[in-house]
Amino acid sequence: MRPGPVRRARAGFTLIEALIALSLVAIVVVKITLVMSSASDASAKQSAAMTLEDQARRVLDQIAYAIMSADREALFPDPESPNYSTEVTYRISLGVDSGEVIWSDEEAIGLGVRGNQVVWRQNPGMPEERRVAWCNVVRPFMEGEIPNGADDNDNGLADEEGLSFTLLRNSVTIRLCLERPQKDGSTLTEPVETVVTVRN
Amino acid sequence: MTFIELLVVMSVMTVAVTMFVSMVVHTSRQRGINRENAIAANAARTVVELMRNEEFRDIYPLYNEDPDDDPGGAGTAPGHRFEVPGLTPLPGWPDDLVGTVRFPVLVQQKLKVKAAWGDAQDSDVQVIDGALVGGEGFAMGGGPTGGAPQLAGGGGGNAGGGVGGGGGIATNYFLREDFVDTRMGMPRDLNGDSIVDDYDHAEDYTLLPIHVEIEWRGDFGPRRFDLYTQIAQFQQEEE
Repeated sequence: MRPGPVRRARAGFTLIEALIALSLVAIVVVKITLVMSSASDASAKQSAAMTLEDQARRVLDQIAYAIMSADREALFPDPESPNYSTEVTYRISLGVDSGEVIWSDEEAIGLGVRGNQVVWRQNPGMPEERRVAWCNVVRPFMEGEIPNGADDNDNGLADEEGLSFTLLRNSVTIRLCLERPQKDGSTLTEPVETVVTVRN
Repeated sequence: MTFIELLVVMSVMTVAVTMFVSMVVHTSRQRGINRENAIAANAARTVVELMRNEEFRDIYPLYNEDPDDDPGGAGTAPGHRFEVPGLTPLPGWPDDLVGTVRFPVLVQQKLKVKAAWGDAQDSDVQVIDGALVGGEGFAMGGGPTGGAPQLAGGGGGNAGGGVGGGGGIATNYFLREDFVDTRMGMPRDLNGDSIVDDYDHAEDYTLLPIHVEIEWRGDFGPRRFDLYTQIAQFQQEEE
């Protein structure tokens, strides 16, 4: 009896096998890329939010520490809630000489001309005025507030802007709201608030 | 590519992706924790700043636990507990007030029993138990030997079966120099007489140690923030 034809063992892959393998690899790579991309986006958003929050607290602290050593009598204007001011001028104590308190030149903190800046000024309105912008992403109005003459965010103030000061005896309440647009068209908002009592 | 090689590649990629995602999650978690801490720190600082806005002698009665000594009348002061917007109370917390102001105060609770059998008089009122209660680190010992603590509370009681009774828990608060809490810097002289005694100094303190404590339910478990500070007022005596 004559033996039949012997099949030879194949070497390598067939085209179909290669195509299936490539497809699987492509699917896996795409999925991994999507996961990495969304994680990266989330990380970037978190990072941006953290940066804005840090900035808001830093500026708030800067304002608070500036006002802390002020003289209550020299604080101007004197807005008691529900009124507020977007700028406060003050003098700080530099020390005592021969029993007399030495006061600094007049300083002011408030919204800049562009409306989105927190500006510190020394000798405001004088020829030798110095000004430093502490921040330039101030929101036009506080979070939850729209210009309609009402107190929309229930904080006791109506239509308050992104930076506001209110006074209660020796305490100054400082409210600040920053916003920063994102690449995806959304906007990050960070409202912060603190109270500081003037020491002098 | 063998199956083993494919497995190795997949494992390496899985580990890499897991590490990356884990890093993102931890960053996010840390941000939440930092944010909560910042809110708590700001709230604690705000409370201390509000205290500074009050007359020095009024700070203790305004912010202590005792509602009966409020300068504007009982129950009119802010009290020792406060709300912090943005922080969630711990489970089982009775209200939204996550912050607490503490002073070096000894709380004394006495069970006041007024028994009346037959023609018993008011003199039958007797304190049958005296106990110092409070947080850790309290100085133990007898009651204050100075001042004139007033018994508060009372009311309630049982009556019936020919035996009448009245009484209640009387709670007294004493600002004490012998209070023990090293973080508060206690014990120490609070009224400037260079003596650490066991009197109540609510009326004559010149130094007021303050502990602001905030406890809340964080996104990743219970969290706590403590602020220790002191407010002092020294006046030069006129010669």
